[in-house]
Amino acid sequence: MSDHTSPIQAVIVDDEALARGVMREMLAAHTDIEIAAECGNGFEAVKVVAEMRPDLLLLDIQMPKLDGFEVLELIAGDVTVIFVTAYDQYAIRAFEVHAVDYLLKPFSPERLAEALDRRARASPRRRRCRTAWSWPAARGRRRSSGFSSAIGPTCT
Amino acid sequence: MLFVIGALLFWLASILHYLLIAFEVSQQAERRAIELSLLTRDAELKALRAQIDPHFLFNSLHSISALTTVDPAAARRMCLLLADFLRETLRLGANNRIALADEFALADRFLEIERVRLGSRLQVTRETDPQATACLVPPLLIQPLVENAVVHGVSQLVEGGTISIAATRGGPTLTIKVENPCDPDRPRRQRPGFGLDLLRKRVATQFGAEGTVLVEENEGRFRVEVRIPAEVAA
Repeated sequence: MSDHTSPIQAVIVDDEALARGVMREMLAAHTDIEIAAECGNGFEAVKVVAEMRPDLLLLDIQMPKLDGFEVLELIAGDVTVIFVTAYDQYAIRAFEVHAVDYLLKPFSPERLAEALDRRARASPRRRRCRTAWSWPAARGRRRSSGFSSAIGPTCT
Repeated sequence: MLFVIGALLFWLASILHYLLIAFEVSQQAERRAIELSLLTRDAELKALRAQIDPHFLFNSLHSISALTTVDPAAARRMCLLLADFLRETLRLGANNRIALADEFALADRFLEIERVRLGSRLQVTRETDPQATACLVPPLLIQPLVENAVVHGVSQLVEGGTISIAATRGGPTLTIKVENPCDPDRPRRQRPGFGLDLLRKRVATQFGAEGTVLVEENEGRFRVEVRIPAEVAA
């Protein structure tokens, strides 16, 4: 259910250049996604999200200065988050902050496609619905629906 | 006559009884000693195994996955480095004592792998005197310090930093220092705990009062100093 008229704006956040590279490479297969920016640390990510208002954040957890969770605390608004990390112990916390998916490094292109698919089902054209779908409301709805079910507003 | 036979029998029975008790006690003691040595070895093995951080492996595999398309030769090199590091960790871990030079060679492999991941953010300097590197140390004593310096130190800094490793021998004492920059504001959970505890325990059980582990953090510098008796191969 992705928007065909304008591509999904994604931001890659990872402190390792190689990890950003492999994500960029795998995302190239998804023509509906455009990489708006790449960030090497949490501070940059917070700044970029405020400036560019991307639709999707591919977010590493262990990073210098601000970790992935701290980044989420600092950004307001309704960006969809997919965590990408080598650590499996944060999965429950990721669920609590309403990430749509949690990718464990190393991951396959298929697994990334699945996560993107989940994002599409979770937030159809969400970026067009900022006023219609406030963040606290979204939190409540997502909490009850879990990772994989279709959630979010149905406006077009 | 009957009394004598009776007394004799009683005496024999008592002796037999006490012998049996003594036998049991000694057997129990022996069993306990074996159990204890097994436990110690088990703990040591567990400790060594725990020292290969699974996240290090996952991150390295992710780097390899990234390199396969952009730089296949580097991907292969990384595979070989990783295999070397794992094999050396297992091989050295099986020994009671290894030369400090071997321990440092292992650390070099580890740092080379992390260098692929962290790039120029990771720098290393080393000052060692040959008298120190010839000394014998328990295996994988220094490796966790180097790992901490990367995982909790340099990799947590946007601009990275330099890890300084030094080893000196002063008379009967071998001193090994690992120092790295760190983010003083980093959250609690990113501080080294388990690895350092394990190191302290190992130094205490192996060297008693003769071994010391000093840990200090001061203005963004994290420093660990290990002092143990300088042993050399006979």
